[in-house]
Amino acid sequence: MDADVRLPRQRGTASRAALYRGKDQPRRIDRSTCNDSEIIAELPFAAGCGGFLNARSAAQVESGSRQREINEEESAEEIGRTDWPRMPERGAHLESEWEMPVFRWGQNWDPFRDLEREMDRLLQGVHLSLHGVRFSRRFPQVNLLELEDCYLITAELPGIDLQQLEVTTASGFLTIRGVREVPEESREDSFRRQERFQGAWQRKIQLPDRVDEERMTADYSAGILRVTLPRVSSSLPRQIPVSEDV
Amino acid sequence: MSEPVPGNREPGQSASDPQIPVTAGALPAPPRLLFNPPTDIYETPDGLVLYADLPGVTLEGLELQVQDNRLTLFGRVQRREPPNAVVLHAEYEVGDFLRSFILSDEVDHERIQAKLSHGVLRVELPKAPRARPRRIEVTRE
Repeated sequence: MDADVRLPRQRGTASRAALYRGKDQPRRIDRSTCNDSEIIAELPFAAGCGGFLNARSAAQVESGSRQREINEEESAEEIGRTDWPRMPERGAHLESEWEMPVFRWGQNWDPFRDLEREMDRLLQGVHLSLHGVRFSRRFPQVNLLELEDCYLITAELPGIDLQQLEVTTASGFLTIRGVREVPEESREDSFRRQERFQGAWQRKIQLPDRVDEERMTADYSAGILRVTLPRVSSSLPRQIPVSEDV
Repeated sequence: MSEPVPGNREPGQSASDPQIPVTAGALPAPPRLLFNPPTDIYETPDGLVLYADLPGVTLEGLELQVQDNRLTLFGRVQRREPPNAVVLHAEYEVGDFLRSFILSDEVDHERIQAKLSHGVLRVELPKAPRARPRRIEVTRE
């Protein structure tokens, strides 16, 4: 089964970091603790992988111990300004980090998916202005958030008739599909501008293991669909008595 | 035409929001993003109809105004997700919508109507009566 979005099967910092794409985190370049090579990483082209490595290694050579003062999380955000996943632990040594492979999301190791993700990340790092370039986008765009007791899938679905919106789950996949119709009064040749998505769409999202499918809820307001996936409350550890054979 | 370049949700500029209080000592609030909403415009016998996708915009957050032949729409999006939510996968970013259009003289500014439903704005821009084709009777001498 091919899914658009795969959720982490296992909760853990590594897989979460691999999926982490949020740009809403406040980005902050503290010039007092940054040397020049770090600031280079602000430039669009340096924000990709090459830039990351260069900036990182240069920073190491130049500043040596000073680099350690910046904690892992912050430096990851500043340098890998776009989406570089955050380091799992604060105290991790920089040296040992270099011996790690570039793809270090070993838990759900799937080389092609990681490659795809990495390419995605590289392309995102290149802030080319693509204004006016029409390229096919997935519709709808989906975000996945993790809350305290549930996962939340939000999709931007403006202008959907609820009669034509279908949200189903089956065998670990959440499928949303529907149709966005062209207004009847419009003719093909009467458009002066046509940028909105039209037609039938479908997205398929893999659910995480520990989701209570019975209690899933969805609501649609102001053009945003929110599907709440409550987590299964973790069972208490059970003591297994061990009998001794005398 | 000084219209913004059409584009699908490329962040244009970030607008600092005076309404967000910045607590002293804490990080400044992240800048709000501004997006160019995808728009359809088509012609009907009565005028033009404009559709804009504004997901997340409610009636309270929508400002639509015409000034000097410029139609400006601004949609403010209220974040509903709690701030402590961890983003696992993000395909879209949450931001406000801003776009403006230059109206031609043939649009009757007084009769512009707009409707917002399910995050889609529909604006009707009727043609001014004088811009309608007027048949001129030709009489035989």
